[in-house]
Amino acid sequence: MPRFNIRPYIFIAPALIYLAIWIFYPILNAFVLSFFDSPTGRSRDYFWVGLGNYTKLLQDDLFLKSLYHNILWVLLSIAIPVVLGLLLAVVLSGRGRTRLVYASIYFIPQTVAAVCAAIVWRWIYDPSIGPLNHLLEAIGLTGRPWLADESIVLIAVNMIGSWSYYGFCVLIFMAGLQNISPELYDAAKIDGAGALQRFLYVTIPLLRNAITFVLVYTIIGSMKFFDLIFVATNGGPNEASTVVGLRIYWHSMREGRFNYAATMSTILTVVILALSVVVIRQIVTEEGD
Amino acid sequence: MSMLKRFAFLLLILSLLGGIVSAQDSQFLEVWDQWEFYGMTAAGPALEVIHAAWNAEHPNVFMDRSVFGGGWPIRNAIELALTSGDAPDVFYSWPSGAGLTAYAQEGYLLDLTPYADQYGWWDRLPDWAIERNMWNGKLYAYPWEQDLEYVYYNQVIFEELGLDIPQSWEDILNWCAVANEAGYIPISFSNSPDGWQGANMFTDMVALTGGRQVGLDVLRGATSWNRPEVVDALEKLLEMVDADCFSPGFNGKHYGDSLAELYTGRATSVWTGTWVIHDISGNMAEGALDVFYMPAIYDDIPQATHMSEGSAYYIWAHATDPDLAAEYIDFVTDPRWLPTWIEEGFAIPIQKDPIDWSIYDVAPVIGKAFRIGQEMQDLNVDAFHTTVAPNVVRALYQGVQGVLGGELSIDDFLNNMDEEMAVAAELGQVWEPGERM
Repeated sequence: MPRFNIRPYIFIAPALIYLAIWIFYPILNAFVLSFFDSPTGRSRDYFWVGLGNYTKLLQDDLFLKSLYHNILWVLLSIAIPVVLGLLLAVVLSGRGRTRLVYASIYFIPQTVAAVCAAIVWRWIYDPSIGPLNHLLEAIGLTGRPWLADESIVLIAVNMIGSWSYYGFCVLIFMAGLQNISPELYDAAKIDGAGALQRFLYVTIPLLRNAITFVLVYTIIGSMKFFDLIFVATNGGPNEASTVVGLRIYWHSMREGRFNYAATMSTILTVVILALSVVVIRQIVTEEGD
Repeated sequence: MSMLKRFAFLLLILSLLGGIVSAQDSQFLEVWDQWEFYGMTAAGPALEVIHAAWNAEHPNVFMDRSVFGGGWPIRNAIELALTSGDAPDVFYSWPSGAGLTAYAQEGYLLDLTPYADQYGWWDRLPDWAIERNMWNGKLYAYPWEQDLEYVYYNQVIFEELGLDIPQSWEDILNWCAVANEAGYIPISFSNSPDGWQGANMFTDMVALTGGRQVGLDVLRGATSWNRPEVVDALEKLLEMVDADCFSPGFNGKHYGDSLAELYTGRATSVWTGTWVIHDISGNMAEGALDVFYMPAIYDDIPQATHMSEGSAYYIWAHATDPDLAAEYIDFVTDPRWLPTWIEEGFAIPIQKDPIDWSIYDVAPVIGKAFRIGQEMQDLNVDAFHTTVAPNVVRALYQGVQGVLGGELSIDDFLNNMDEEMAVAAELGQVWEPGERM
């Protein structure tokens, strides 16, 4: 009979305790709170409403709009920084030592705090004094009120996030590319594979783990996005850039409607988990095939 | 035991006893306020002087003071503190109106009525300020800084363009046309990220299209927001948008950016309020700055603007020593400190009697701004965004952005305001002007 060994549990106990206090308990607590309401925001005034908050939430146009914006944010964050990061990593992979210099340069925006990035980009986007419009006008194009136009504000703010994030993707993909044996590319070349075929049939499949990580990380990060939008537009104008994180903040911190905010948090957690599981399963299944 | 050891032992016992006795005598006062040294609540230097005097007069009081940023930081902190059951004895926060109503009816606030009687606060405050800070016939806050909104303009540019201070609606549109023609932004305006600037201009315009009573009616939920005077106010603002009166892309600009447009001479003016008078008067070239209030638009509705208290002093219902807390409020708001608040803090306290500006050492433009606004105090509309409940505030901010951006119809916005007012009513967060019983 194998002897019970307590040592591994002792080693992982600090991490488990940390997770229990700061992650699992808040999630569980938010879930419980979502079944109550309180006219005052105080716990002593809670009363049971069952699924009442969920029913209300599903009829809340602003919440649904925010969720839609989150989904758009995820798609934009995959379409721009992830794809760009992958392409840059592939281009850099054949460049010997200089690739590290490039990667470091690309990574610099990631080190800028989101709040600072939002403030600086606000100036860049400014229709009167911003360099972006001046640049566009210099080459004969018309500038736009980037953060004031409801039809483009979400994309404009996402560009700030993409600027910050693509360098991180480059780094992860470069690390993944280092694990791919050059012999596989040589073999593919001998078999007559062109650059595109080598990318599609050698690089992409063998980067599966890195891609999975980046996609899941991007989805989670995008769904819970808050700081950059809060500083740049606070969800405006006219809620055109609002996301669920902002709604949660507003309902809890500004209106004191903690139960309703907890319901949003619970839904958001479920959506994030569901999206992450779908992506992970899809990639694991492909790997199995 | 040597003599020295005996002496040391005796000294130790005496020190401990002394500590116990002095601890019993000392009082504790926790204060949270917003008095920083820059920005919109830059009266920190004034409060330091006042606190030094307080400490000298109250050597046995230990004051634990925390300073929060003005605006939302202090309000968020206070709301969390109140709901968690561990709030400071005295706090200087906002809003009155619906915010105060909600706090008072939940029992978070101490009734200050007895202290108002004791210290004669009724004689220091104007009726409108008292009304905003009462609930159920009781006073729950001592309103302090006076907020008013008007136009800060660069008189050098006005002179260069041959412009006079506008006296009518046509003059306003003419000003925009002339300034645009000369390559200036007529009115620097930023409406992001919160959108409170647009909400304030909307309030000002309702004061000019409907007057004080219309403002009171919509704020109390006594009438729909979708009424002709309010619609007219928004249409007037839209007319200004169409006449390119405002900064390009105003819905994406931040407050500081619009002030910078005035400072750098790109804009002829900025339409904002008393809360930045310190910054603006300090950043403009000497002799360039002057102020005016938007003119009356209709013959039967007099010139007016919006007003409110910047913030107010409250006492937590479970304050350690309510009498001491009230004494502190009385001390810092005592008329003897008016010169300190005005000259060193650039914060103008709300006063029942007109302030004699000739005795204060401040730029004439400051006195002018407050004097005109205070003369209109019976006509001014209470600031919408510091009077309605938080859920209505969000609808207000985002709705004005939508209307001015051309993406939301006036009807949809005002109907949404009505819906949010109904939600606020369910939560008991609708303001009813207080009346002293």
